[in-house]
Amino acid sequence: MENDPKQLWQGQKTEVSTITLELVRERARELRAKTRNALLGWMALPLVVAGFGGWAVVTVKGGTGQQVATGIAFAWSVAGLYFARRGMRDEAGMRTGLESYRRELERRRILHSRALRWVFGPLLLSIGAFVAPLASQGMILRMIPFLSLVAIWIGAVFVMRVLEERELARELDVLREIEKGQ
Amino acid sequence: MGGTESIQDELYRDAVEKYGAALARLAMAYELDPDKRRDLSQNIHLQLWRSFARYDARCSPRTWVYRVAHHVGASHVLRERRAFARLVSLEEIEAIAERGPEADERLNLERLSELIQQLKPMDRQVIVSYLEDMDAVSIGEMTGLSPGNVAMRIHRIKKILAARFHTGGSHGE
Repeated sequence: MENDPKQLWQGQKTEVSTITLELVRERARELRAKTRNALLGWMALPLVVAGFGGWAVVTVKGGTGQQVATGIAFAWSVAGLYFARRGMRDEAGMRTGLESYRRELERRRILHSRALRWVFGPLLLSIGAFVAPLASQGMILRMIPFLSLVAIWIGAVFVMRVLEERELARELDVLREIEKGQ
Repeated sequence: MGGTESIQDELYRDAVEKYGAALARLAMAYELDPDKRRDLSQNIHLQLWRSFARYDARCSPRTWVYRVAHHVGASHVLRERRAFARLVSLEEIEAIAERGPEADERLNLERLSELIQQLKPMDRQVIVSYLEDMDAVSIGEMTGLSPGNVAMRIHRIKKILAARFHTGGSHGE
């Protein structure tokens, strides 16, 4: 019976590797395509904001305030294309495990807060630019189902964000403790 | 560019030849699901190949390979972590370490995998490196932990493993 953990670990059967250099190159091409698609996905947000905002301006006719708010939401989402993804390059091999893990945690925290600022923000503003004129026109009752869904969505996003934030902060604290104790 | 590419390819081929089996085991430490593990392995190999374009020999190829692979593994754990699922540290595992019943090799390996899967990425990196027979200095170089910190963690790992696998804590570092 084998119970030496090192021998157990090193002697375990692993799947036969089918990874070749050609496959790795293929994955690299796929990754580049995926990155391109992700960028296109980010570009969809300003289009959605512009489309929704434009439609809202035409149908609701909320006046200058609504047009300005829609314009700001569009400009905000366009700026997000640059700011939300800035400085996210990764160079794994140069860093030690402690450093790279801390950076990964920090990267996730930054991504969460940027998503709120550059994605959630413009969307909420454009929804607000749509809803506010309707409310002033006394149509708020008809919008209760839509507004309820928006409220649930906002609540869920915030709860998930706070929980994730707490967990990441806890792990970062642990890593700081380890670094302090070095 | 062709010359650079061939050096990169050469370094990658050499690394896979020397550490391919260890990389496969490392993927096991970060993902139990076979399909997800296949993706993780491919991602480790991809990032390793890409990283060799920047390799400057300031650390040994072994350290570099393990650093990149653990980095990809840790990112995978963070990405795949289900909401509310909590990973624990060596200290917490040690506090609840109970003496497991005698078991055969397969069961022991399952238990060892389960133990590793519960750990936070940093401790996972240390225990996997220890199981791969890396010495404390190399583990410190790879993880960025001080020699004292590595020694303390290895001591904990030995205690946990001894309690769970009846080894009497007799492993050398």
